[in-house]
Amino acid sequence: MSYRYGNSNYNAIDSVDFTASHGRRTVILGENGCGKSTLIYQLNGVYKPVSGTVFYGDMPISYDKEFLTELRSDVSVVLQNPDDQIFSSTVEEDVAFGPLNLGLSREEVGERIGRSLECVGMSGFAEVPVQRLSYGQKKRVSLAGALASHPKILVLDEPTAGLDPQMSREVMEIANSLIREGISVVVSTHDVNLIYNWVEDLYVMRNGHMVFSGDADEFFSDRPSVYLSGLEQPSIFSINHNMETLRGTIPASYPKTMSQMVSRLFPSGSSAGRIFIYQTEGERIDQDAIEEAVGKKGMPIAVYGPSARRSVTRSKLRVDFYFNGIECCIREAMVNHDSLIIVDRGLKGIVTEAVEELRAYGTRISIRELVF
Amino acid sequence: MSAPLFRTEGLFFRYEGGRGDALADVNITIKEGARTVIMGANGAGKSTFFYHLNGVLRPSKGSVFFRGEKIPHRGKALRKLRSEVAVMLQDPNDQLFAPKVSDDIAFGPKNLGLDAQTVGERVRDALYITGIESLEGRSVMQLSFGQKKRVVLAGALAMHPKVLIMDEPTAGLDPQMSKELIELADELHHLGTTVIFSTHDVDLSYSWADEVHVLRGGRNVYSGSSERFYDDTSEVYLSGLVEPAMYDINVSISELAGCPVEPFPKTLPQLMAKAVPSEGPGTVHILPVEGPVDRELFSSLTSGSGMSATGVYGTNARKSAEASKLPIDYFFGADEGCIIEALHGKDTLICCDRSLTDLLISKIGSMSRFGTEVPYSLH
Amino acid sequence: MSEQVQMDVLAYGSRMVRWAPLGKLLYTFSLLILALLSENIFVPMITFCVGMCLMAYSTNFRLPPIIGLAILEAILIMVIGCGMVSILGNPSEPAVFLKGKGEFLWIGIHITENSFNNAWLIMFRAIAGVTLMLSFASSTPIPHIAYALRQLRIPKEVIDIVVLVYRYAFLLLERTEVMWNAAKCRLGFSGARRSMSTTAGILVNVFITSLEIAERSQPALESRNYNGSFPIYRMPNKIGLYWFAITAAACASLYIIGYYISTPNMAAILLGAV
Repeated sequence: MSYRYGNSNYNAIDSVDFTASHGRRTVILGENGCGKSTLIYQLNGVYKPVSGTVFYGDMPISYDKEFLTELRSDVSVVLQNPDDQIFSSTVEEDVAFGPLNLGLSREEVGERIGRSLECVGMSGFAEVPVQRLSYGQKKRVSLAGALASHPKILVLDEPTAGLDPQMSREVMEIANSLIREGISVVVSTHDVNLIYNWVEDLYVMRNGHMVFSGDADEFFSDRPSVYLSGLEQPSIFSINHNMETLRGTIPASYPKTMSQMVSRLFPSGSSAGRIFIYQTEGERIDQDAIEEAVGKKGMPIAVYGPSARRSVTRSKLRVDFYFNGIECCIREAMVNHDSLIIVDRGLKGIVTEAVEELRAYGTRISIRELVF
Repeated sequence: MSAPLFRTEGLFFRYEGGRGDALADVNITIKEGARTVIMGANGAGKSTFFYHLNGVLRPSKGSVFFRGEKIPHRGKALRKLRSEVAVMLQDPNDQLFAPKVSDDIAFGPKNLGLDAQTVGERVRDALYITGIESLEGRSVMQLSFGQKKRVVLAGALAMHPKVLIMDEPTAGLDPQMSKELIELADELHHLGTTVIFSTHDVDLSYSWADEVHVLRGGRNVYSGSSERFYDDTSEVYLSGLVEPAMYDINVSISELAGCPVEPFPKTLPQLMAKAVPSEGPGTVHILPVEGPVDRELFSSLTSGSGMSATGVYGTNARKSAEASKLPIDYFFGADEGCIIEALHGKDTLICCDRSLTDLLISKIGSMSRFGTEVPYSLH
Repeated sequence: MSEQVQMDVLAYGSRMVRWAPLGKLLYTFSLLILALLSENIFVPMITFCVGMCLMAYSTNFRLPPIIGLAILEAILIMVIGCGMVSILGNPSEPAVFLKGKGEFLWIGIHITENSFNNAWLIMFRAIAGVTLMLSFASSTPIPHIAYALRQLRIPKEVIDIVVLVYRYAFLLLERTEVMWNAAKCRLGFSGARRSMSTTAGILVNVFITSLEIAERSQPALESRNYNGSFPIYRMPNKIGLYWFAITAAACASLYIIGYYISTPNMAAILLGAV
């Protein structure tokens, strides 16, 4: 289900070609006021282009009520400011808003509310009045509201604006778990560091025009263009670029994470540290059983994924790396320490991928999966 | 630099009808001339704390001192305090009360009871420093978020404060605007206005702050230098923060390369110098500017074999360069950018405000702590 | 936080929040009307007690200080008002207390049996009304009230406006408070004239903010398939027959009390008058 789109729209955006492809991680990058929000509203038919067409799949969008209703349940938009899109008085009422408008049965709606709230970590807040929530909680509620319509494409406008660092990471973790479930995610932002390791298809806008589409490293290598777009190079990119230039080597292949970059500078070969993976679906975890299986006590423990967090809370486990779990485990391994990561059943692939990608930068880490 | 500017003693505060203390037993000393950052997650009490520094909120228990005297809560003394301590809130929309930009900037000075001519002068100066002269007659409602933030800053500066407190100054700003704002904060601080801000952007505070105070759930859990705070990973996590990239990389690299963690690089050039000692760094040429830039000198320096890049540092230099339409590569971030180029062995030229030359020189000089001496030349 | 917010938070935490809003409305209103119509002081007295009990139950005996303060204020006003009524008796009737003994400011005090009893009647009616209405308000969040109104066939557009205004009133109130503080930071309230112009500036800002919110909410609503009315997921309970039964029983007993038990003569009891 891809989106194709070439259009112009009053003064806001002009001659924009944009494609969001199925199952991909797409990013619209640009400074404030460059037209990102206008583009987003074209994607769900709220704004109509003055010229050009928006295609959903193979069909051009038609602006009649039936088509739009279906389109908007397939394409959910989460706005930057949660107060702009939370209209109801309690959390569950707001999450129910979308599904009820689609005419679903009360039972179905109830189920969806439960699952959406669980996904964003707000179960138990169902009957809380909205004005009692903090900003971060409201953001999660608006995300739950968008998920409740079971979208195929989720568009997030500045998803981490105003969030503190830990919440930001949690939001991106949720985005990653959605991708694993087959939902395409489009993020619009000006935070280059947030998306550098995440993006697959990058689109850059400036003053209403699309000035770049393609690979992130290609864009960030062009410093003047980055500068003109009101952005900056991601810190890892910049560090890598400068360091490699100083050492007289070429910056490519571009490390995207801290561990990749450090590994490139100081490749450890085969590291003695191992990463143990424990997959969970949210059930209680027996710490003794794990330690026995591993043969070691007191290993640092990391957690990644919403179900994993639930397990950990339930089991009252002592967690060392609550955020950025995968990176932390890799780092431990690089200094020859073992570590354990508790991860959602569906997200094990993210861990193995990360370790695999590290090989290209000169470090090999062995993974052991714990099976009971 | 060590005279206490603000001091709180056993500060407790609870909002009416609030559950729990918004601030509990806070004992913080903010020193004059120290670049201070208050850090903490959302809801930790940073804004509440700031409101105590200019008398908007009254402690439920405990006291707050400004320059050794207890903060007043009414009358002339309070008005004087507020003219000396300017607070800028996070959302500019909450702080704009007049239809036109110049009217809003004049709000503060007018409330100080100054005569029309002084008010006009202050407005003009404020517009100049913040770089928004072109917005003078515009309606406030039409401005973008970043422009509104600058109008609010201008409004605060028009009161000629001795202390400028900013709550999340870079929230919502795109990367370049953020850099511009922080560079301006640097300039103001160096020229005598103590700048204090709050943020949860750990990278920003790590590179800028001399001293940090960390708030968690209304309590002050740490006061001191940045690097010591990040040593305690569980404290960082509990406070809702993460380690800055620079800190992380330094620790990882030091561990792998087997070299000591200190000194802690706070900026990219410092990190580069520490990790990869440069052989034959280039020279940073500094051209002090006071008034219009000497075009001839500029051209003579940049022509020929010379400079791989040019930059400007400081409001006056920037304005002059713009007015003279000089070719400049680094309008912002010249300090970092040109030093990096120097590490790559290239020569660069920075047109710098005369009053900021010593600041620039000290930034260049700091590189020697990290293993590379970067030469500079003052013209 | 304003009283409005407090009341709302209170309502959601109330024990009575699940009771049918229309039922509560029917019950409290009926009692209120009876209390206002009856000439027998016992009726409003009992109704007042019922109101107090309901309020105590609803808030679980814990009244937030601000609400308590509001009630006390109301009672104070009523005491003053009723005091005035009692001392302004009909000069043609004999005074039963403080005969000819003085004046309150420029008003001659003339307390008659009738005026005294009247004052008490009014007093009880007033506080009965306050407690009944408060027990309803403190146990029924506004969306439930909106739902009840819908069942009364009030046009849904009106109700939707009520819900939206309610939702955004909080937001705007919060913003106003922040703006107030920001103005203080720039000495906006030093002096009467400046305070007025600053307040005007704040009001304009709030107004414009509300316009901006309205503008931004339009595409947001469309994105979520808004089809003209706000659906309710968790319906408050529908009114059952037992509400009618209870109300009828309560009204009937009050009526009987009012009819058969003679009204107490407060003047006789309290002032020893004959």
